[in-house]
Amino acid sequence: MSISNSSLRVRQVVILIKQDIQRTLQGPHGQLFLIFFALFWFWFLWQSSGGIAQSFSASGNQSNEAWLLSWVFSLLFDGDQRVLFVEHPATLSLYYVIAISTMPVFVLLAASNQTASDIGSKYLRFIIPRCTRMEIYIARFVGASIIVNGSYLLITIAAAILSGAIDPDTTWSSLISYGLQITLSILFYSLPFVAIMALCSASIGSASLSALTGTSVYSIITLSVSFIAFRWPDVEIAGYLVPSVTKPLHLSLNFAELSQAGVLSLVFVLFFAGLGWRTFSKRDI
Amino acid sequence: MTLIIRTSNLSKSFAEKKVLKNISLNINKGASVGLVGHNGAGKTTLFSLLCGYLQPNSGEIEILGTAPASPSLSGRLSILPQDASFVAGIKVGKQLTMLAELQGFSSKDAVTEARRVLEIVSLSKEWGQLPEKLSHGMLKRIAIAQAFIGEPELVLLDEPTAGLDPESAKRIRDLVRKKQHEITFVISSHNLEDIEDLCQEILILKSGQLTHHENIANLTARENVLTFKMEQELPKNVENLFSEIPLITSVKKGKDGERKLVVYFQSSDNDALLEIDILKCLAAANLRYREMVRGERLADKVLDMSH
Repeated sequence: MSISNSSLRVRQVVILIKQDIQRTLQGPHGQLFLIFFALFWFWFLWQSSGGIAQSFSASGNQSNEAWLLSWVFSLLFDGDQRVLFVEHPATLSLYYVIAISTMPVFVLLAASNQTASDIGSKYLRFIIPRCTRMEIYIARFVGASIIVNGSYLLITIAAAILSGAIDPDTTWSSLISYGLQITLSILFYSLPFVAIMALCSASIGSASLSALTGTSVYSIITLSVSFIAFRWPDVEIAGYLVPSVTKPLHLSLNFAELSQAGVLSLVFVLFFAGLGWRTFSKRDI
Repeated sequence: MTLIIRTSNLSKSFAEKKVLKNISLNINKGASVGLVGHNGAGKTTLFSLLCGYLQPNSGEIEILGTAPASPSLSGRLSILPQDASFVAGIKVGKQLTMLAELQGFSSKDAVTEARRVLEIVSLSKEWGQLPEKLSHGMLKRIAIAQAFIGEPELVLLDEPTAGLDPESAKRIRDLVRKKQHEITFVISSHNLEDIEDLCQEILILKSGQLTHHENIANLTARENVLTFKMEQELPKNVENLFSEIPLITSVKKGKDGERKLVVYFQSSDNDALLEIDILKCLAAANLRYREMVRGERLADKVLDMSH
């Protein structure tokens, strides 16, 4: 006999999202992410305030100042992205490239506790008589997405303000429109990673184990895909196993490629979140 | 009578272990039911299936006319889960308010309702406390409080008095007794005195099978039986003590070390005199008793039935 657990009432979802956000902001797991995230981006903004981004747009010679950021950036930087620094505010572009490149690390950490700890502590037993599993699953997915994207939005605003202050020939209107583009792109790029963690957290009854499993599995798959790409360059399809395949599309900031990235992201979300829902809807609580 | 719980051939296994085997039961509205059985008999698993925490391997369940975890059960079915924890870091009052909101209360009414249920478990002062700062007993009472949010028709209580001090346990028993005319309770407990005190029917689970579904009044009939708790071991042929009383129909001795004696007799016009005769026989054999109960104790009866 199947349990009718897939009904969806918006009011229940909204109440659960509010609670999830509050719990993340007040709980140790959420605070660990926020501190780690804030420290990293504070360091980035501090380093960028010296104008390092302009050196990428000018000649490609990196300044001696902020050498650590330059080194990190050299690991991430792909020659194709240099156009971002020429056509858009350089500091904001630097933030964008680093945000997209480091996103898996942050999102896999931030979104690891969607249903995991509540399964472990059996807190869901208080909630299940009052709402459906579908409502819980969606609320936790949306809650995690809001936390992740809310955090990135704040840093995007800070980076935009910094960019306006230090990048030459930058107008506030161009910053706002570029900032919006970046925000949307970050949203679409982050969702598949949140979906991967929805799957992990529905499978494992512990937030820490879920984070560990998510990052380990993701790292192994990414390394395998890189190896396949290196060994058999013709097998392009292997790259589509991980959401980071859309990274170059996002960084192109070209409408057609961004649309393609958006569609691919939605496919990834449907795949991973669908697997997560299948697990969560059938598992013992 | 309205059927409030119906299960048919319900089975549940964990890995290779079959925890519940073909449970078929009907529980009517208004009759408080006690669920008893040894540890591992399947009581909590049965509760978990009824609430939709677990999915059965086979069989059917109908709660209040619908499937478990159906949205239409929201606010009609409540449970005290045995081992669920509240979220750390969020105040108790806020958590109860959220649960009330999920049950359909407006934000403002949810606060009032949360305060009301905290009041009925005498924990109003803990409104602003974090769960991790409270004792096990207090958390248990708060978990009981959440089961009384709104006006549920059916409340499942899994070990409601376990781990509570006597005063708190009494308060919970009083609460259940007070609400019995409006709510149907199913109470899982090892405390058979609680079950006898609060329930009209009893379900006995043994190794995952429902062996008995009885009316408690029938099991503990007050007439024609006297049960003694003795101060010393009984002699082997204790029934010979009463050979001169023709109305005695049988005598049952407890197992070794139990020091229990149950005397069955035919009813007559003067049962009181017969009871005195029984006491005289005991005194003549120099057997002293610590406690005498008219009828049989549920605990003894259940012990017999579950072996």
